Amino acid sequence: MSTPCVNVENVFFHYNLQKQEETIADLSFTAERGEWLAVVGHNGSGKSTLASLLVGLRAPSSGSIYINGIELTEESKWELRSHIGLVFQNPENQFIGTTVKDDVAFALENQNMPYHEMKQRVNRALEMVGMSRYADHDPSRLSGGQKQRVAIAGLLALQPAIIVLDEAMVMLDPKSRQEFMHFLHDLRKQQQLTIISITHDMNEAEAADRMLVLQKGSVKEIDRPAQIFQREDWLDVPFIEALRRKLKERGSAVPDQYMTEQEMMRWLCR
Amino acid sequence: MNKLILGRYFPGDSLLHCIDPRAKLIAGISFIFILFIANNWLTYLVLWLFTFTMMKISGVSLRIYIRGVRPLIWLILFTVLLQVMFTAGGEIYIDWGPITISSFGLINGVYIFSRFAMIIFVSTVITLTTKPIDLTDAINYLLQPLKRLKLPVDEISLMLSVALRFIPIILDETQKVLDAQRARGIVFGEGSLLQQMKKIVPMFVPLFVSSLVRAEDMANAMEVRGYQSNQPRSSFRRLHWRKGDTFTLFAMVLLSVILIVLRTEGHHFH
Ligand SMILES: Nc1ncnc2c1ncn2[C@@H]1O[C@H](COP(=O)(O)OP(=O)(O)O)[C@@H](O)[C@H]1O
Ligand SMILES: [Mg+2]
Repeated sequence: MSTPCVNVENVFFHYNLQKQEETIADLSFTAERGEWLAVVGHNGSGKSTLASLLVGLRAPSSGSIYINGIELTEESKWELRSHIGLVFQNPENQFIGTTVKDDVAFALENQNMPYHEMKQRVNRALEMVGMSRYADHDPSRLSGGQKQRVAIAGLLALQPAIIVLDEAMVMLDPKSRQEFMHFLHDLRKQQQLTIISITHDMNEAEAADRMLVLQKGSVKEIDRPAQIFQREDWLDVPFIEALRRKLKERGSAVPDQYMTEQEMMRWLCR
Repeated sequence: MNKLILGRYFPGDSLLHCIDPRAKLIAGISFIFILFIANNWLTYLVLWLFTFTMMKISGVSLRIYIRGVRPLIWLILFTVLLQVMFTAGGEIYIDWGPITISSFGLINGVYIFSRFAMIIFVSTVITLTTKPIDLTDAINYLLQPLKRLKLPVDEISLMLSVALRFIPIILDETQKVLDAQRARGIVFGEGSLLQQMKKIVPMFVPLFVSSLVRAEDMANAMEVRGYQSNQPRSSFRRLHWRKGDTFTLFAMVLLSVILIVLRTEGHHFH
């Protein structure tokens, strides 16, 4: 087997040095190249902390993180920055540029990229997220959803191999979110992109290859979404699963295991 | 909060808006020196004509400029008064020992007042017609030679531009905090000085805290996107020097030539 794209090994992390309360406790998992891994969990379970560990903003107190087989350290993190990108949970304070297009270009400027290439990439990224019209606007004056689009554009312009999205689409309207999901799925197929997406949207999680349930900073479960939705009844299940359970409650002879949208459609129309 | 005019940009498409910020900055600085060529009423008249023409071209109403001078009016009047009282010569109207009011003194007072007013008006013309970020770029460009002295010019200008992003956000936030306090029944601008100060203190605490949080978020965003000081960065924003910009500088040379011709030789006021 090839080396996994992201490999997290026995990572521990805590914010408060006085209290020995671990925010991330013995966390281990891997993500393969081209995989979409959804991370779910209650508020405060350490999802955002995990994201900041993955991009090297914080260092684990013990354990290691490998990106493309290279261990993430103080020295290697700068080199790895062009391979892994993060969209923060709060889009408010992540803008550096005074205009949308300046901001999208920020990470490219840091790579010392020639102007013409930057220009192409910025225009393309803004097109991809449907924000070309706002290229000269002040990012702090945009709506929440528009800010998230710009933040995603900044990430796409960099063309990293791995992207980490920390609830990066919550402020988008449902239709745009759906479009974005499709778009990212396509992009992932084309470019073998690895996506680690922190989300509360179970429909989004369902579309992932695998799902990681984080609980108090450790992996409660990591498996295919279908398996997890069947076992974890506390999760807000996707629409189809909710429908299956409702039918079951009403005494319908619906199958006992998790069904995809198509399976459900076939079963209903049989 | 919105009274400060110096340093505010008024979007528009006047001729002055289109001039390269470097040309405007150089012209503005040279204007201060040119002011000192003038030494008789004719030269001051020419300068006033120039200043008013610029204000007219900028397309911003005179009211706004007057508002810009207002915060400084006492300082100006004080200086003018000193000049008037301590200059002797010409016809003397009042003589109280060292304090005299003479014709020379009065004329000098008018000149000093003109200098102050024109410096403020011209710099206001520049800031009103130039985006702060463009001014930062211009400063960065003009300071490039100082890099040889190991001065962190690029870092300073990035700092300036980030600070510029912060200012409107912090002003907005101040407004929000003010509104929140008002909603709790606090009336600003009432009571004794001590009482008023007591009302201000609880305003600064949330502002201070949120600024710190914001600064940390922004530092994180910059780091994740690969910003490192002391590393070569390319620049996405471009300045374009056009013929008109060279013409602007030429106009300043012409202005100084006119003044040199018109000034009184060998006869100086102090
Ligand atoms: N900067 C910080 N300093 C101290 N504690 C923090 C900080 N950020 C998060 N925490 C704490 O760490 C825990 C996990 O937070 P977080 O990773 O943001 O969870 P999630 O994103 O899953 O909601 C929470 O208990 C939170 O209070
Ligand atoms: Mg979070």
